[in-house]
Amino acid sequence: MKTITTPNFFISLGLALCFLGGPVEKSHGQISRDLRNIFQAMLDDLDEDLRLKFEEALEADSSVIKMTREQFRRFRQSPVNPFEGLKSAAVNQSGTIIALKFELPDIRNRSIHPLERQNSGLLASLRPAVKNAAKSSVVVYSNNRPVAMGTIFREDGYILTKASEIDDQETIRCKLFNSSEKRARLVEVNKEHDLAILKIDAVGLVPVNWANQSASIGNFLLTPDPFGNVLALGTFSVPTRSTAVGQQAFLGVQPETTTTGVRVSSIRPGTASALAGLQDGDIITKFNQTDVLDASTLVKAIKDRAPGDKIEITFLRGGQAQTTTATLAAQEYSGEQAARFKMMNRLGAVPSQRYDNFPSVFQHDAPLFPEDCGGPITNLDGEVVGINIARLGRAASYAIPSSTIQSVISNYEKDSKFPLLNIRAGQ
Amino acid sequence: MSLHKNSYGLLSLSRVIITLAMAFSPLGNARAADNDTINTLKLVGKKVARVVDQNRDACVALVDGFGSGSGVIVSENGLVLTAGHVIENTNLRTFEIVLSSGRRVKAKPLGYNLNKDLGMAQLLEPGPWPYAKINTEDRTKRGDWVVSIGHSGGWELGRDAPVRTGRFLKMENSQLVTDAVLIGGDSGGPLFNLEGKIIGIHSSIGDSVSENRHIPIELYIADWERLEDGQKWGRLANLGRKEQPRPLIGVTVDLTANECVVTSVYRNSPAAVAGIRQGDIITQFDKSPIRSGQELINVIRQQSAGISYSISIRRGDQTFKLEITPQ
Repeated sequence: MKTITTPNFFISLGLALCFLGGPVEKSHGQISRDLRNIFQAMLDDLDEDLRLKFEEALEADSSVIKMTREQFRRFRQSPVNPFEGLKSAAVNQSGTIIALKFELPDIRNRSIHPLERQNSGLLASLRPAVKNAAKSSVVVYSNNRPVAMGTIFREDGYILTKASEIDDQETIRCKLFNSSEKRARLVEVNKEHDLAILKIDAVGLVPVNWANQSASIGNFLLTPDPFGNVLALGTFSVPTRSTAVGQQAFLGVQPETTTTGVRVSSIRPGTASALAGLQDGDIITKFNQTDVLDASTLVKAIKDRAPGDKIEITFLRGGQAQTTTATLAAQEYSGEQAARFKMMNRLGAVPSQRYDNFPSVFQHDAPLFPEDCGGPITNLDGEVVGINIARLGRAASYAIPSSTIQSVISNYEKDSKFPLLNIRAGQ
Repeated sequence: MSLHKNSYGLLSLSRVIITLAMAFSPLGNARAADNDTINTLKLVGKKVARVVDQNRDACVALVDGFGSGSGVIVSENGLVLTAGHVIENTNLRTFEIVLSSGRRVKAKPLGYNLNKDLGMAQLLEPGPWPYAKINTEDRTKRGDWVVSIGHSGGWELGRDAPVRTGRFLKMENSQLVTDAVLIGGDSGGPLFNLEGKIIGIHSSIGDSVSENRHIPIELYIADWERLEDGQKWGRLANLGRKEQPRPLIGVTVDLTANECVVTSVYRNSPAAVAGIRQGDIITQFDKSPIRSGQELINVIRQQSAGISYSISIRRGDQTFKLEITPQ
């Protein structure tokens, strides 16, 4: 089976090559931040020869890459290649070297169809809903560049933001709803949730109004900026879950219920099932000495384990009962399919630097940019249902639900990471 | 550089007009209108939740051990609609359908029509199965809200199929284009209207988040018997590309006249089959009144090949309706 088909990106380039015959372009364009991210994301999946080309370009801060025709052919056919059109392509006089100038499809400034969810008229008419939440939101600057949003959670200047977008070696500043800018100090980093706590010198700020009820499927969600704009409109897509890497244990079989147990098939080399010596057609009867009656029992038993867990499996082969021990693996996609998926994920989106391994997030479909994460996300009543924490790619964004955030904060308060609110100077 | 971008360039103009219109409206009215928008969206959100409640169990993943797509059960006895390219290479032996409960059920591929990316499969255990209803009412209008369900990125243990919303933007090459965002693994999943009826099946994407293409459900209805019968035909085109043929009826029209005069009819064309003759004046196509040759061209461009429409003709003193199926 194939995944979603995508148009053939290189038709247009093919034409460009036919018409251009001039000398190789000399000027080396500087790499934009988004392009740098994309080059880096491709490195793992390119062959070594092409990887070297892109590593050199990153090193030299150049968006122009020269290739032989053979290398170019391989790059065209590579499933990781996300480039619809290139800014320009040129060949040298002898026709042996092709210089490609890379540019992202216009994601940030794309023209938005008037009927789209993200059209400016619709977003503008939603401003009244975020009037208050906007005041609890800040833009976080690192090295004088906006890198994230932040969420004010105490009136005395404590702010949550996305940790992995902040460079703690650089000066951090926060821009508030009234456009004033404050120098911020990094108080705490929570790697697990990718949250950072910043402190600015201020009092009487508007702390975030957490929603009493969590958001649910179908709810529209708004991402405000401090100035009262709605950056994006999204829909609640998937209830809160863990996306922790390796959380999902994997045996690597296709199970099928039979009268005697669960027959397994599609066992591929290198998977946990193959390493345990299972073969297509084996019938699993026991899992850690508990009877396995049907496929869903087996699936659930595996789901309740963690990768790395050892399990004892009793199975029938040719009518004979045998026992083996399997070490569960972490489910992962690999090969061309995974590379193709990664490419699709970058169609129309710039993923966050860290977009996985969160212990508690809900998924929504607002088209955020990495620097839109760290701030509040509200329901249509303007109550804050969570903090945006990552852009996964084309079809998904993650937010940490308010309940999780509140327990993170209260744990820090218990650990006296910052003074309790009711203790003020002079009291 | 690409044709996609040209079409977007045209649209940006109308966006500017809308924005200006907002800016000119008096502030008081604007506030009232804003509350209306928020309340409307609350209502839409409730409907989306209901669509998902009603149809969640009918939305499935198709897995064959090597890849994964999506599908939707459409009958009590377990008929499943999916995209043609999802089942094109399905290995019959290992083909399984994963229900929303996580239960896996053997299934066999039925027919496919790769020209339109249609596919059908059958669950191999006896029902009754939960199923979603197909929209047979009015066609979806531009701007209507739509709900997408599909197993993005492949079936994932412990995750329900993501729900996404968007609006119907336009017809292009006989496919619905929406901003309900799709990605690999969604192929074959259902697109619902707010009444919870299936209006399309996920097929392909372009490089922008607003280019998501779905096969109109009418195309399945048109080929239903052949698909159910297990017939396999057609060839996958580069779906969504401009060079894919537009729907045609096979007439030439006078572009200078004040009405839509047929100047010639191609032999064996849909128009010839329908009984249209040279000199006929076309006054209506489906529900759209036609007042010039250009209007007919514009209207047909928006339609789907393979679906029957009514066409109103004036011939001399007579006026009558014919059935026509563009190709």
